[in-house]
Amino acid sequence: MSLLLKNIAKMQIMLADMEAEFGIRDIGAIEKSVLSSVADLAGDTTLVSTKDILQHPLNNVYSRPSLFRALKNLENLGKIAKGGKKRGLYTLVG
Amino acid sequence: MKEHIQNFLIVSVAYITAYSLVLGFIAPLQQMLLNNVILEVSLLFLPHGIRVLSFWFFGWRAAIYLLPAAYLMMVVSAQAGITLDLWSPLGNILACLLGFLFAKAVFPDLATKRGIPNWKYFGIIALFSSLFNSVGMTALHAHELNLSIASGYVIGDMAGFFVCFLILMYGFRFARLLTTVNDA
Repeated sequence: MSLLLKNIAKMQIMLADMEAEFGIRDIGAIEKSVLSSVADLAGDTTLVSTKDILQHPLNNVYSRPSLFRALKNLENLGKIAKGGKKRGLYTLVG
Repeated sequence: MKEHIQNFLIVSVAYITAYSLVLGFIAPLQQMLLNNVILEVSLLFLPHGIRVLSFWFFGWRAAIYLLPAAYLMMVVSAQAGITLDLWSPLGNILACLLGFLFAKAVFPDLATKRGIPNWKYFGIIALFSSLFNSVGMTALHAHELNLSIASGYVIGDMAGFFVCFLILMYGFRFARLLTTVNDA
């Protein structure tokens, strides 16, 4: 049974990647919140720091690991991208 | 042993379901819209996607899992008026195995570090399998290497593979949506 579950999980991951490439992957509540905060902060500057994203009022209900995971997911989905020369700076894509 | 029976059942059910969709829905529609295409060529052959997935998940064993369902569907096809060569199910499956092994040999690094390749890698397996399959099936059914029939097989296999993956993708999406609705 565990092999079957493993295979189903593999297929789900592959199909989720396919969804992301087709641009129809849904994003979760935390990702939506992080994306909104990036959009909000990007109003002042193009590049938004991770520190500002973590401290944004929309995100203060989530744990740090969840927020970092959401940032990674959004980056993988091509919604945000790393920018600037310093580490931890993000910019909206598109 | 239990695991093999489970794999065999999953592969068989998936293959029979996909083939039934082709026989009951796509083939009649194709006959109505494109009646100049020979009956043995389906322009949207969904089971190709199942074959590709089976070979990727189970390797050469997929050939054994797929064979009974393939022969069963050959009999069902004959009942539906589409007579296939006796060697055609075996040829299809061996062509897919060859395509799978060829894709693995040509692109050994395409699998990601998690061991899950991108869906496009499955497309490469599907293409190689389809090319081998089209040569074999054209020789069996047309008794010569007819380019238009061979390209019909490739188009049917690749379109079927793509639509099969789209159906799976939307199926999993729908399942996720149902879970979200149930949780709410």
